[in-house]
Amino acid sequence: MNLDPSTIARIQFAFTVSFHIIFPTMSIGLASFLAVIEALWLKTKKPVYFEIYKFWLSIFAMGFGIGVVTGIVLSFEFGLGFARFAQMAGPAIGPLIALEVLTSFFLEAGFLGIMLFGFHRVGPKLHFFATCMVAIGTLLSASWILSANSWMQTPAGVAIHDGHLTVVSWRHVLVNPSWLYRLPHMLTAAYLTASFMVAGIGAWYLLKGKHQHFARRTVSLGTAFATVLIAGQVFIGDILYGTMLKHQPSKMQAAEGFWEKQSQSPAPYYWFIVPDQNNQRNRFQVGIPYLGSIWLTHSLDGRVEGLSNTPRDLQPRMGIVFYAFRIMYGMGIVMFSVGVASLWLRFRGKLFSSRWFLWILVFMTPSGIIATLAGWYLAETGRQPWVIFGMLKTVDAISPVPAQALLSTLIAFVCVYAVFITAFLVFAFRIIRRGPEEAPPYAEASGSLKNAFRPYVLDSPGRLVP
Amino acid sequence: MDLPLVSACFLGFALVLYMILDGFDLGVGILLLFQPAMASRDHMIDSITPTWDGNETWIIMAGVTLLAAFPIAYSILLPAFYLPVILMLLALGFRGVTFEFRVQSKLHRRGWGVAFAVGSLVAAFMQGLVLGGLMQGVKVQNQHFAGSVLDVVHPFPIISGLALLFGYAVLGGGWLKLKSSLSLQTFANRSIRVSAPFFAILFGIACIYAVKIQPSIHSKWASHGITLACLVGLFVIASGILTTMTEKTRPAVPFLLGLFLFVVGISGIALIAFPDIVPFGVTLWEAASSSTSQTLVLVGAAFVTPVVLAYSALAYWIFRGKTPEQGWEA
Amino acid sequence: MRFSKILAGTIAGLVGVFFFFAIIGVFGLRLAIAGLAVFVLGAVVVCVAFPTQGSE
Repeated sequence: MNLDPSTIARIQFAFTVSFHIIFPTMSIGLASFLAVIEALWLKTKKPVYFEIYKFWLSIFAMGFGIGVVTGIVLSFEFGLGFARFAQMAGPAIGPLIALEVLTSFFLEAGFLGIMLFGFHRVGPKLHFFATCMVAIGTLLSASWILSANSWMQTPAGVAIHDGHLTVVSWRHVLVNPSWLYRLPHMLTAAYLTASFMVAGIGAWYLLKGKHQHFARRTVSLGTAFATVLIAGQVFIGDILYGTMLKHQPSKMQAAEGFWEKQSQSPAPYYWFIVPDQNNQRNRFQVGIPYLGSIWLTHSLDGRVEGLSNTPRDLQPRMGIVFYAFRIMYGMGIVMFSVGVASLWLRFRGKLFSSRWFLWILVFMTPSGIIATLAGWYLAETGRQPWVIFGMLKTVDAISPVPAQALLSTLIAFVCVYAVFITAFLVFAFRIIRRGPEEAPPYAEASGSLKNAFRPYVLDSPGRLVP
Repeated sequence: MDLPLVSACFLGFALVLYMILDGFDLGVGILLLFQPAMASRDHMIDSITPTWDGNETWIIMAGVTLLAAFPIAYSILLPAFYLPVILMLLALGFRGVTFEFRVQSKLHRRGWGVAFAVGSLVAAFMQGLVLGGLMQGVKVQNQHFAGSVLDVVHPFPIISGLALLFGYAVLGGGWLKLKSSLSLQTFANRSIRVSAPFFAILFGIACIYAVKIQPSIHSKWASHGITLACLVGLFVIASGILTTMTEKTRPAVPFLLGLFLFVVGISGIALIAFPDIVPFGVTLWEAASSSTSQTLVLVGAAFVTPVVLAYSALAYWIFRGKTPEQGWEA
Repeated sequence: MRFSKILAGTIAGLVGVFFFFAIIGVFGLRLAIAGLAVFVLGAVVVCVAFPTQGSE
């Protein structure tokens, strides 16, 4: 079998990191959502907020657990599949990744146990503090990782000598040119994900006529947060677009589907293309006239720069970059429309009774995850052929491991991760079927995080009381 | 301050803590396969339920310390142990899920228990393969891994893998003797009496074999022969005590002796490897990153380690004493 | 559906489209920031001034 190790290594990493990113995205969003809900409960004392907290706590716990396990794999996988990358980039991003892991453990050991299991054991203020610390901790963790990845996209603060990197300025490694734009973009994506998940499950209950009070509150909160957040997100997204156009022009050139050095004027906005990278043209393309100039050059007749502006051996593959971008952006447009619709329905007093809208919310439940994944595919495939942009190509970064070993472990990953996702879905559906009233005030299945504090363990009559 | 040395000490500390803490629950998992009675299996799982989850923290700490403080070693060792590391990671993750399912599902409890046991066995064996592969020596050229991923599939690492299985079984048996009620005491005693000699014999074979296949180990024996011989002697004595223990032995003694065995064994390995971090050609200082990178990691670790240790200590203290016979569920 | 309802809904939709174009910077950065601010403020006002029925 003639297999290319670099392709399999990339597929393996793509699989494990795609699987992983779903869970921290949910965790970051839900942690902050839970902090808000707990604050509302402490302030208003309305029982519905306690119900919302209990319900989403369990789902949060499971997602956090799977996120930790799949994240552990990644911290080794840099070296396993991409040893040459690890060796080169280690001095710069090694500490950043280490700090992310350490931050995560700190909050896990310190506060997560209390948040998940401490409800009736510690005072309400301490519990709320724990929830807030977990929310902040997930945010901090994300910051470190985003800095490391942003450094790969827009490296700075290092000097190369003889294939080895030395860090010249830690400030520039951490606060590299794209970090401060990508971080809010990712955080907002996480909060949007949680908002649509919350609204979607609430809408489901409304459609089934169950748990009315819980459902109305969560649909209201979810759509309200989503509306505000999506406006911010498209704003940040546009600014980020400008930044990446400056630092990684090849990515944005590939993302828009134009090949010519200068597109026609006025330029259309393509929604569907069949690219032919070998011949540097599209076999077929469909777009909305004028919209390309309007959206991409902010004028009615501006020309867009196409992918031929980048030398052929430095071009990313347009097909995947284009569609990743369209899916993310398209989902953003849909989210924005849903937000505007929710405002309108709220204004007319029909938010809970418009069944067509509730069905849309149900379908939008995973929208944040889809958009986030698409965005990450844009980020990572658009950076190709580089793994550190402008410094190290992906093909030069892989480990001296044969293709067969890479392929067999890829298959092993798929099998075991299938078990993880099955577990998550089985337990999540069980929680949803049971509904919020039956939810215990502690996390049940949690990927065995902090077992010591589980109520069925701590409360057990057989346990020796000190 | 010799930062690479400090980082290496922290790395070693994390690894030793991992082997001791995760060792006994991997051991209990392995022993599950030899316990046919369902109620006893439940009791065995109950003994590790409250504390097993935090133990894996330490191997991750070791991994990221390696990445940040010794990136050259990281980029050599991980491809070198590609297969065992991935299989170990998958086995550890899989264990977590099976544990969860086992707790939640009454119907397939037995099946999930077997899955948990198999996951424990695979993880333990892979760790042994890595240790053996390290002692065998890692082929390096120009600070890159130059060997084959199948280098671990050789007699010496395989013997090491088997040895570690029995070693963890000793720890597991010791833990069970300490924590379990009367019904499991016989099983615990028997596990220790059977595993300890196998552990010792395999360890001994590995020691002798190591000298034959790795010239650097031969020269280490030449230069540090007395110390190494003392360590071997202590190992033999401790194994002897374990093999001949009876029901009358105080409950904590076998577990502590098991820990002692591990400390002795790890000390020997560390003595042989030092000053190399990639045996046997790349020293700590050659593989280290800049001092700022080291400092960043050590400062982070200085904050986090006490918190993690405090949580672990709290958990073990809350659950000191015997595991209740009827389990944890009210 | 009554014509006035459809008209009102369409106008709301067009307003939304206008805000979208503004926020993504088609009319320049200043209007993008202003558009974002107005949109968010407006959303907050709508959520507070039109409390969803039956949620109390």
